[in-house]
Amino acid sequence: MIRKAVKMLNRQRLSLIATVLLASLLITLLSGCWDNRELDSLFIVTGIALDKAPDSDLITVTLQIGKTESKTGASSESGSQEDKNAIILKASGRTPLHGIKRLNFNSSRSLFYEHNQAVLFSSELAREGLKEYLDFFLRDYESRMEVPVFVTDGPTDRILAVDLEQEQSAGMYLARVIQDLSKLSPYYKVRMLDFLSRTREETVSALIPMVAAYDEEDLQKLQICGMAIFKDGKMLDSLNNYETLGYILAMGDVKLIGIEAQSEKGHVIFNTINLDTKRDVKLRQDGGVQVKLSVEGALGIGELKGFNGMDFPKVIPELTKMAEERIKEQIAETFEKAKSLEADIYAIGSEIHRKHPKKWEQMKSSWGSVFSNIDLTVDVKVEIPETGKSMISLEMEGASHEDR
Amino acid sequence: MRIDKGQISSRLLLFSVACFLQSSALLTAFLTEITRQDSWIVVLLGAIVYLPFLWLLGTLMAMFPEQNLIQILDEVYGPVLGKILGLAYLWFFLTLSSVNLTDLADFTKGTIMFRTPAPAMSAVCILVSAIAVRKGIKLVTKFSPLFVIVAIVTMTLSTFLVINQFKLENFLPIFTLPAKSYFQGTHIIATIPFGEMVVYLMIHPNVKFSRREIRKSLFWGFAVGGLTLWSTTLRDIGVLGNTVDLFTVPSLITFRLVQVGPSISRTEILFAIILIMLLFYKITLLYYVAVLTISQLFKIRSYNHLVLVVGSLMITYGLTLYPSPQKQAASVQETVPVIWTVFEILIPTLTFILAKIRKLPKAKEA
Amino acid sequence: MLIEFILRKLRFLLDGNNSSYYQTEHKDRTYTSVGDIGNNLDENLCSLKKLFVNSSDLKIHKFKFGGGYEFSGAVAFIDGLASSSTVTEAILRPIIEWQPEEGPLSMREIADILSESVLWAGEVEKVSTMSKLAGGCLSGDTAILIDGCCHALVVNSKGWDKRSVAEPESETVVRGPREGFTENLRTNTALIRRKIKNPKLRTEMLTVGRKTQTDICLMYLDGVADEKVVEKVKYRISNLKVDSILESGYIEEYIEDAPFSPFATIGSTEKPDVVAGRLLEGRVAIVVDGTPFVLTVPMLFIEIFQTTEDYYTRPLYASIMRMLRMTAYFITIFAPAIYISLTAFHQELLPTTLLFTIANAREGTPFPVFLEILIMIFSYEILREAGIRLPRAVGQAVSIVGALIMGEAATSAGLVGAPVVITVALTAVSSFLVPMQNESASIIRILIMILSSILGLYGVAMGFLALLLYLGSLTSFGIDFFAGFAWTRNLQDSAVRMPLWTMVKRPANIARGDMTRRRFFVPPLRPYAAEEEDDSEGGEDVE
Repeated sequence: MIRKAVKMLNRQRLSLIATVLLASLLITLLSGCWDNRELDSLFIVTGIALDKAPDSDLITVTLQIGKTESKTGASSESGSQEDKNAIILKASGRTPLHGIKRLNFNSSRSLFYEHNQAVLFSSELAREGLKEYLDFFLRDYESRMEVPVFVTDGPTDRILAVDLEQEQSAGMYLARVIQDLSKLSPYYKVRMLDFLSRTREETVSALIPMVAAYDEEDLQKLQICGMAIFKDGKMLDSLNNYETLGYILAMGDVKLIGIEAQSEKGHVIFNTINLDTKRDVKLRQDGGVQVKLSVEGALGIGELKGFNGMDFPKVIPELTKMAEERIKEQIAETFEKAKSLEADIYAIGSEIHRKHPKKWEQMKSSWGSVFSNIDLTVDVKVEIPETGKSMISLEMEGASHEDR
Repeated sequence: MRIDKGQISSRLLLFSVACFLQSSALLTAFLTEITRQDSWIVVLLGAIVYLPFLWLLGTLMAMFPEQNLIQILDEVYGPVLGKILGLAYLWFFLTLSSVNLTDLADFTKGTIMFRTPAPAMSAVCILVSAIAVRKGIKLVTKFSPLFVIVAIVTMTLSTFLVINQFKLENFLPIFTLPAKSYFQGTHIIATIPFGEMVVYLMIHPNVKFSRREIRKSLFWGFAVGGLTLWSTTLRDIGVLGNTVDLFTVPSLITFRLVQVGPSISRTEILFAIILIMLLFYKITLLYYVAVLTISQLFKIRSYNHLVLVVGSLMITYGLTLYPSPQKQAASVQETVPVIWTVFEILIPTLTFILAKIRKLPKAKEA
Repeated sequence: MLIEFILRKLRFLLDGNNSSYYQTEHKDRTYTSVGDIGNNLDENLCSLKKLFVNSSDLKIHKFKFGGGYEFSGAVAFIDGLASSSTVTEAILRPIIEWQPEEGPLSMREIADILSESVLWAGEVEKVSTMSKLAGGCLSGDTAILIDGCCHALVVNSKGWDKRSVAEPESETVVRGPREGFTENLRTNTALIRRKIKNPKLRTEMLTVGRKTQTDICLMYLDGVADEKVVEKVKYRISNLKVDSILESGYIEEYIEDAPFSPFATIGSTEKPDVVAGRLLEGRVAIVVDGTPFVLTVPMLFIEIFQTTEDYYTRPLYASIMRMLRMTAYFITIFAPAIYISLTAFHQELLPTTLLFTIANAREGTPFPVFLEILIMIFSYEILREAGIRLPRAVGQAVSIVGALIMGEAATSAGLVGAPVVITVALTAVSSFLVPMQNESASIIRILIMILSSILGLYGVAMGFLALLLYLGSLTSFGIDFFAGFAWTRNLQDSAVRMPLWTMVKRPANIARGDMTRRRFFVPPLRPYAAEEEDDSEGGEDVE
């Protein structure tokens, strides 16, 4: 009995083992490892740029590819300084993907987008509207939603091809710069997702950082030179860095920016310790909208110049007043610009949508004109609890030793 | 005649139920597409609507502690009608497991293995599941506490990691969608993740329990699973805002947004793997139930030979179910809840009423 | 076709083995059929010699004794097994010097008198069959045959050369007892008994192996060990129809629950304190003569992460070390597979800078990652095997050649990338943390690598689940092999080691009956504890 049972068990076991072996054999042999892509068969894309193709209605897709080089074997030749850090591939097509598919014909390896660091649109293309080109970034499995987007001042390929001193490639550089800037204010960081989300909401205008290339003593450099204003996927205008600051102050959640203020008495730069803006949107009876921004925060003195002969305790209220005025002014200036463009970069419309969904239905169609007639009041209240390491400026009263 | 003699504790049942529901948390797209930012309300509504039926389920289990669903049907409806209903349930369970298997394969294909054919993934999954199914209910449910803990830890951790991107405004406006979509959403949520708990009617004879305990375990399992589902929905809406209905798997996009420092940002694949493991648990349970149903219906003493056969059946059936994920989404939103309602709510209710009228379990005791 | 053929072959082999048992069984018992001991000394000696034909180590010495040397007798022993000083001093000398006081004695009485009052021996057995006599001789005893008496005396004179108790080489400790088992069964049981001075410690002897007649000793604490397990072990061992048992590994293979599993489901150790600890948890120890490795059953998977030192060092540190060991075990199984799936499937998971570093290293290497890692692991296994088999001094040289020269040369020649070398090295080093499951780990590692090379991380996840389910399906003498990680009542001693005073009960899934280790859950924080109440009492006498 027992022997029989043991035999049965063995037979079953063996047939099971055989089945599993057969199955795994089949899987291994028939598979061909579908998703397997060896690293040395990949071009790692670190930047994608879209531009208008010259003299045609096509667009140019420029890809920047991080270069990998073998450190072992045949390294003697690579000593030359001419080596660039990145490979630039270019093609034109009707849509981004159309261009990229063309690129497959002249690249030795397959393109790999998951590590893309930046997406760039040229301002020329942006002015004509980006909506039709965004679908690719939304649909493609490999493209990542948290890639930062940029608008370039000038042709995009030049920016991607810039040979930088600071980072390996322009894509990496831009990603790092944005990472760094987002420590100042989260509104600097515009990811693909944010851009899409804002473009989807019809009334909201998206902002995208602008980047420009310039030469400086033989060295090529890139810099962020403001933000492009989009409305319905089309670029209207741009804010310069100064105006961007006004926007950021209006949006609140400011972490660490410098605010420069000047009066006849002296010149001062404040560092924000914390600064937040509360927004209160009210609908007026006549259909207009009233927006009240109340900025509250603490500033530290970063640098002080002037204020000759003044007593330190007296300086503080003076400084506070200066800072408050400055912030107010800056916010208002940017707001005026947005109003003149009828571009709701502050997403006031969607706030009304959320809070007063019914009234919003009526306003929605004429939002542009409503926006341009918004009443803005700015309330600023700052404190200066921090003066840096030194209590007083050298030029100030109490600082001089003559008192003793 | 009980085919699988393994016994599990009622605590294991609790975890099993919780894990079963949690695994649905990754496929909330069918809901968010309809009810957008109000999905979280709908999840709550669905849970409340399902509660009486959960009680019903517990009562049925307590009424027939020694019989599984097929045997209950046999007893309540007589041998002929009972068998017909049993066959219908067999179809239901098979479809359910195939649908989930296809979901797993499609999810994997859509998140980490873009070019690998889905059947290869289902086949591997079935081969691994078969290890558990062959050994019976004990092994099938053995690791459910582990999965529950992993799921809760993952959800909590990911929530903490995206909390800085969480915006309360994203929940506004509330209640602006047409009433029909609320109804539809509630129906979907009550039938698709919650209603599927009807499969536990096949398992309860293997649970060591007393009458009160079974309802308690069912309820707590339901609570844990439902809460996870609800908080996942909340988190996804809060983070993704108005883009939540754009994506096929909102949770995954949420995970994509996780950034811990500049170097560790691409974490979504790890989460995807964990979600796959959770779904794997559900498939194993459904697979086991399907195999058990077949052997119960055809009175086979040992189902070991059946396991791989049913597995391959599930794979092939899954291939023919839906031509594309879009079709599947459409059917999940429209036809599936209706058919599922019959199996998950109507028949159990009818069985309960008939059994009460005929005073069935009491006759048996005497 | 091919598989069917292989199947048939295997089945044939299995069947063949079974039937050959029963055929050889009777033939082999030749010496048992020699018969009883007769009255005539010469005849007896003759048949003894016939039994041990061509055995030069059987020594037979005839002598005469009694007051007037009227009796004749003979001693027979195996040279080398019996200690010659015992034979001369404790057996021959008293017999020959003995002066019978009373009158004529029957031969039968002489045997009794000899065993009771003459011999200086602690263990004398009167046997009447030749087979028992031969068996006694073979285990080192000395047989005394007396002319005219149909009984022989078998006197304990075991005294062969044996290794002394020394520090075990396979398990070294920083803190803890340094003695290890030897090849001698009695020394081993004595070592264990010295740890547990309790009459309830049972030591049951069994003899297994038709040809080797190996002594096996079952040890367990009565009232603590699960009787079902004890019965199961006894049943399985006593039903072994085997030819030879040379090491405890033989026993292990014959009696384990899962013979095809890569995981050992029976624990083995060289240290008496480990065995004592396990006995106190309610396990059964199987001591086999001729090997310093003692088996303990049932075994739990978690035991591979537990070392004795855990219980001798601070609980916090011990817990951290345990978790480290678990992580290391995970690494040693999964690291190569994860590396493959990260670099060949899911490059997006790597941070960008790391990706470029790895890509730079990959540039110019000729093989796919999977092959690259396989080659490295293969050569590592070669090196390891070489290091173990060779004499220690040479072994070190091998490891230097392997580690330094091969690794360095392979990388600089561009055959393999440096990250691969790092991964494999990490895998190898991690495996040293869990030496007990090294063999299983190296098999499973390869399987999971294959899975990952086909299906990437999905394959790894499925491999993980399969491993989990497989471990969950294993049992060791009816106990869940994978128990002890969660939802057991003795969580104090699983992934973490809680302080000893929290371990109030013995492990619930192993021990039966007397479960109490300590009566109270009292932390040793109170001053003057001894004066207030005595909580030091064990559970032994409480019931």
